[in-house]
Amino acid sequence: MALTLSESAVQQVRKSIAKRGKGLGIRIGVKTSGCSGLSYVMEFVDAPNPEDMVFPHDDVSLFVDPKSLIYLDGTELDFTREGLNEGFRFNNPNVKDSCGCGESFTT
Amino acid sequence: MALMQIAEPGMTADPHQRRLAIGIDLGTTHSLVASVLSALPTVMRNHDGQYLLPSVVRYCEDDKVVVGYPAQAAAGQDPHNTIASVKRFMGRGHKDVPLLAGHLPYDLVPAEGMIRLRTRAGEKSPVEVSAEILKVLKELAVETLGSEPEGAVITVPAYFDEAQRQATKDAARLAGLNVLRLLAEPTAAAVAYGLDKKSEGLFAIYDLGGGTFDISILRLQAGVFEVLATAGDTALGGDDMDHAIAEWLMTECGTQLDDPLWRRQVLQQARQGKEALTDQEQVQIALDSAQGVSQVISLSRVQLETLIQPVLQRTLPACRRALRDAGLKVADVDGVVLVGGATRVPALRSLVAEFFQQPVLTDIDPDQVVALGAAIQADALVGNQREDLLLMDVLPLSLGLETMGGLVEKIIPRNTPIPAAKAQEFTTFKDGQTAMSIHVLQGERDLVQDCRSLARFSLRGIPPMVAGAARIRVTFQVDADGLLTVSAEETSTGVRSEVLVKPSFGLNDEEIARMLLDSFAHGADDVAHRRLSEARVEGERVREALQSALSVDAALLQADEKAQLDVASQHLERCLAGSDADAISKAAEAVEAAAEPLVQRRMDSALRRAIAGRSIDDLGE
Amino acid sequence: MRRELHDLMAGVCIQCGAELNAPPALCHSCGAIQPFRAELSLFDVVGLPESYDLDLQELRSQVLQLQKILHPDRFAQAEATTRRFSLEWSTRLNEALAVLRDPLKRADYLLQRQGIDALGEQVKVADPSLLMTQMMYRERLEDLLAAKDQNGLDNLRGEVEDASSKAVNKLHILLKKLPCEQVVEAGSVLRELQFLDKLLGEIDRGEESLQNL
Repeated sequence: MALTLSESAVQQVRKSIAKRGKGLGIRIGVKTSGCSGLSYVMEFVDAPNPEDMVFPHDDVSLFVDPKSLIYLDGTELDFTREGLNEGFRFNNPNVKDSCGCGESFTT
Repeated sequence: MALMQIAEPGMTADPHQRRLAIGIDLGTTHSLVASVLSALPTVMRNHDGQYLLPSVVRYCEDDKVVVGYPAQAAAGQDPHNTIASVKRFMGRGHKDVPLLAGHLPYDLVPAEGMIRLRTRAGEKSPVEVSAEILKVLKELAVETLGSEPEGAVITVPAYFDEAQRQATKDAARLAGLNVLRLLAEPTAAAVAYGLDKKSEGLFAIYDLGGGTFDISILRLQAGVFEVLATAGDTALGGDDMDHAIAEWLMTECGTQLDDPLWRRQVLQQARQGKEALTDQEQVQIALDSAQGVSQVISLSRVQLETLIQPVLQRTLPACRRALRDAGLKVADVDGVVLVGGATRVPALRSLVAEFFQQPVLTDIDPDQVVALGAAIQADALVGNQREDLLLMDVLPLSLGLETMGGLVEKIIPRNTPIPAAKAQEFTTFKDGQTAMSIHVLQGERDLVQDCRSLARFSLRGIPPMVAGAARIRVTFQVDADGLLTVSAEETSTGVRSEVLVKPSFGLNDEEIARMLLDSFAHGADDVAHRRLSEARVEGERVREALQSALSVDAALLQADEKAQLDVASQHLERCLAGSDADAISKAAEAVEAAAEPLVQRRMDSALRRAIAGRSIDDLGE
Repeated sequence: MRRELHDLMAGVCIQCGAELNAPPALCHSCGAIQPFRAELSLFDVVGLPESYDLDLQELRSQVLQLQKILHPDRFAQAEATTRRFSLEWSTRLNEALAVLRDPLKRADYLLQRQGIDALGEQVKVADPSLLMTQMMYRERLEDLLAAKDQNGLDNLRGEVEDASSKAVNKLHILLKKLPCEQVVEAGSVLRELQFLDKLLGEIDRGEESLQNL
């Protein structure tokens, strides 16, 4: 079972938490919605849930609930730049199909 | 896929529902746009890495509109068609022209209402010119965010009157922006410093821009920001320092040539000298006189400070006035924030620190601070923030009505917290009078001629009565943006006539419609332009995705597949360098098609890796 | 007709019909924002009992607390009716804070609630002793400004501030019981306080003009 953060993602999360002034790390997950069935969740974590699994990367922790993990296992979270647009990208090997924009997907 | 940002707990948006919001600092000399991404307020940079867009618009011979550095560079050779500092004209009429600082190289159209500038693209109002600046910023935002922002917060000087605020809103509407709020620049600066995160306090925001000076006193309590008082000088700024230095240079040089080109050059040298003295103790300024003789004049920081001292001193009375209006003493102030490029001058920093008897806050780039604060407020307004941040503004200038003898009766005094409403009763002065003329003014002076005329309208249908019997209740309602509605009612009979007042200098709906039609005329250009930028974004994405896939998994390809992919990707590179949207899209598709085997095998191997050595028990950990 | 319907609805939530508690801006049952009703006093608006003796800290924090919920920024994306309600409440809250925190305006408001316009045009001439005091003070101020006597100005300010806090104390006694029974006396103290407030403003402006010379 593995989830990884790229170096640029770790840096960006660290910066974000510092600016926000609080947060134990970030949560990634999936929820059912969108045009292709599932979509990603990415949020700051102030209070973890008891069932969360934690993946530490240096001083930054990645929290995932076990249900989401099934869909996310092997995912690398990257912080990247496309033209002027900067943001996080899920490199998820489980994705079979996604809607045009990639914001929702099926596995 | 669309790139994601980190949301607040429990607030991840559904796909295609991302609430993107931007903050815009629409400045006299520069404008910029910012947004909050993953909790980080960030200014947006263009492809050249620049974030300051000079607020200069040029109407070119080929019908194109150019904004920013290229327009600024052309100002000298094409002055009538290159509009700079248009913010000074916003909501201003012809009567105001003598008040506007600096010379005006523009061809002004003599007409009622807001100033119009004659350019080769036709007569342009300041609203239209500002809209061109906003369009460029909006485009930058769309490209940076990956989709249309839901709304924008645009900052205005705390001192902007009703007409100027309305003009700003109109410009945004014309640029296709949904304005969430107009926000006072000092309030934005305080938010950027995170002063709203403190439990409470009183803050002074000292904002010296190129041509204007503002001082505002804010109070924070229980998560609510209130502007307690504002004061300032609309004709005082960093430019005045440059002029003072330039005058001195010319005296030292022994020439007082009346050649405008030479004067401009000296002014430029003065500005550079001033900026250099931020870090250095001494600079050498080389001046070429018109006769071609070159002189080197040495300027020390101490001399500079003497030269600009009068300018700096002129800011202090407004500081005292703002404190007094707020009912405060210097010792009550808990923090001082500096805004505006001109506040980089060390002498200014020490003077302000001395006046307020404390060190000043300078951590955030004074050019960025306002846009960053606006972005934070915009983010809160579209509902991305859990924490309650509430910004309460005040009315910048008193509102009143014209009474007998050309006098102004103040109805709502300046610095009243908004939203605010006030009602006042008037009566008829003639028997059988059925209509009453209402003239709305803004300003601090007692005479109508010294105040700004915002609107005139008539209340009709008053039932005929003897003089003094009618009771006309006029109600002013100022909303949270500082925009005004006036309604009137005859209370003894209950005849009610509500009139929405738009300032005389604002645009009426026909004018807006005309401008929108104008923009449709250029719509084809805009669509083509838009398609090109979208194609470029997509092409870049494909190119980068391919590079990163190849850097890891190139070995998954056979030699002929690799060769095919290389050809396709080189073609894409060439197309990206050009400006043919169709060619870029086709080339990107070709790359994706050629990359199909690679994508397939990468997916397979990733899945194998994921499944290998894993049992269902692992999930229980 | 509209008026009657309005009266009928007064006191109950427009959305769920539940009875409204103080402060009446929001339904405590369903959270819906309510239309503002003209018969509400400024004290009703802020949800504090009607009294001259007001804890200013409490007033402030009550108003800010309500602004955080009711301000138009909280309804930036809401429909027009809701936005109008919010604008109205937020406006009244600002008005309530401005009137109730000021000892002069608060007293004037309480007397006006009894139908007494103590600061109106008609009654201004009626106070010969106040007129004398006014003339004395004004002359002193002019002399001090002409002499640029900063110490003298400081002393004058001190005296005026003392006199004005004495006036406020008198108002506290006169307005202890509401409705006020000694309205004539209260009215004359009110006018004295109004003059002292104005004089303080004149001292400020005078000092400023000295400093800016």
